[in-house]
Amino acid sequence: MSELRQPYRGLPFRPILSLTFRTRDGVRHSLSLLADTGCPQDLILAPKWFDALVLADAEGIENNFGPMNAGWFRLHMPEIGLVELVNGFGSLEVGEAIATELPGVAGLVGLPILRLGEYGGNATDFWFRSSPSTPTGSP
Amino acid sequence: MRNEAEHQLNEAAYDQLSDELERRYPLKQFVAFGHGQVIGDSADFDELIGIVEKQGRDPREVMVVRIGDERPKHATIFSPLWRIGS
Repeated sequence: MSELRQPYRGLPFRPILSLTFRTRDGVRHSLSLLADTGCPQDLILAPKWFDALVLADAEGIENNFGPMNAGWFRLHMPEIGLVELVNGFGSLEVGEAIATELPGVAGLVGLPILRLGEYGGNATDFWFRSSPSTPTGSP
Repeated sequence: MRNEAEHQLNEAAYDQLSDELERRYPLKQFVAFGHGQVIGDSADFDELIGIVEKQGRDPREVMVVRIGDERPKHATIFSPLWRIGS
């Protein structure tokens, strides 16, 4: 079992995860993302990163921030056993809300990705553990 | 940057064809839409992207769906952070 562990950021504290994505031409980008178990969407990115990483268009969705572009993304972290095709969304509003409080954070990662492994926290850190025995994918 | 007109055309086609696609393709099959029509399918996402590129299309302007995935049209983010922006 491999673990990603990072100290909380911001005031109030927010849990952060660094996840790596691979573009169609094989370039890997690591992004700091706000971990949000209250988000039912896999991934929501600021438009800059959505445009840089999206592999193909997908069916859109609307949430309490309004309509969002959707696309397919490759989560690519073989070093911890996490290689998954995920649905992601692009939102200027979400990107700006996060950047205001947490500069350098590119978006948020929601429950569908967090539940690909195990996650938790203590007084100082948030962590994510990938587990080969954990069923992957959306229900 | 997404081609919005192309996306609307593909999403409308998917809405119209979704029941038929569920019957025609196995679960988890990837299906690509371009110009409001099915332009390819594969059980493997990367293979489908290759098919799309061989047609001279930019995959980012092609809508890909996975048969059997849930299709929520609306979702609510409950995290307290988002009350700032909602």
